[in-house]
Amino acid sequence: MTSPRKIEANRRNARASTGPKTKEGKARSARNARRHGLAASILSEPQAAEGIATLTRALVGENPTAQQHGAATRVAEAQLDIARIRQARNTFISPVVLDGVRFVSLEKTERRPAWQPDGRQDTFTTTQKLVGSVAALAKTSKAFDRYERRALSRRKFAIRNLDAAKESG
Amino acid sequence: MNWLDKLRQVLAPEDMRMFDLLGPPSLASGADGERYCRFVEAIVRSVSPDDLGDLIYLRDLIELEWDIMQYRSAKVTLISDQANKFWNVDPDSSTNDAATLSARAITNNVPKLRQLDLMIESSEIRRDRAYRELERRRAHLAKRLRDAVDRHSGAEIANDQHMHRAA
Repeated sequence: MTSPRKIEANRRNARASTGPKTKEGKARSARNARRHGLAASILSEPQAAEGIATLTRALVGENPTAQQHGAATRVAEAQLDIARIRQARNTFISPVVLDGVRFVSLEKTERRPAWQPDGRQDTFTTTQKLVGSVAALAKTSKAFDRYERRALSRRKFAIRNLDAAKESG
Repeated sequence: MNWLDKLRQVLAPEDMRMFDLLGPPSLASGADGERYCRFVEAIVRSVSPDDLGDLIYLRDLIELEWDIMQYRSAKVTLISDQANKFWNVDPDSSTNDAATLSARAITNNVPKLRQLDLMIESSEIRRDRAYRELERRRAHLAKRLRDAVDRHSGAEIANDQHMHRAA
């Protein structure tokens, strides 16, 4: 049975372990559960807003109706989401496939995101290790397919709405 | 020169600007950038899309067709590499004909080949959907054009009849 002294020491130690203190530490631990960031909306990326606004303008010009602007924004968001997913897919999957599917063993100690939202990419070796095996490739590939399918569907209906809005406007 | 600079050279500035607007083009490290640029150039030059909506689907088609080609090429590489390994183990064997070596290579790599097949199939499904959407947009455009022409020619005929009666 644990002694009262030990329990007290545990409580004292636990009070000292309240997570990261510094701004950098908090930012790092906020990304602990992040794998590739594709489940988050593209709007969560600070640099995406400018790209969405530019593409929206290219789709409907400078003086669109509210309906046209709304539809074009949805097209732009979905399109940039698709580009982001494909970029991630190319980083994760293709090097392994292009290399004649020469899989290497998964080293868990080196597992970390191979693709970052700021476009920085980790080393090719890390990417290979992340994919690891046929089973891992199947899982990763399915995940990318799922994200891409959803974004494609969103974009398809947004383009249809935009076409309809342009006709009526 | 990297593949992106090459792409900027082969595409017209306006086409490249449109491509950039649709999100940064990406290519896997290790992929043949020269070949990719030639592929993009051939498709864009032969179609010349003038509507951004069409260009969105065109970009989908380019990327999906490219993926399909890469996965097919990976299958061929996988089988030929493995067949070469079998041949190197025993170059004098009587079963070293191309068909037997390929069959052994395929049998030994069924899970990998199946995974590649699934990836090809998935890309093909998305590619076919892009084709259908393009056709739908074109059909819709054709219908709108036909309606506009019908309205215009109907008005012209009515006008002619009115003039004829007045004369």
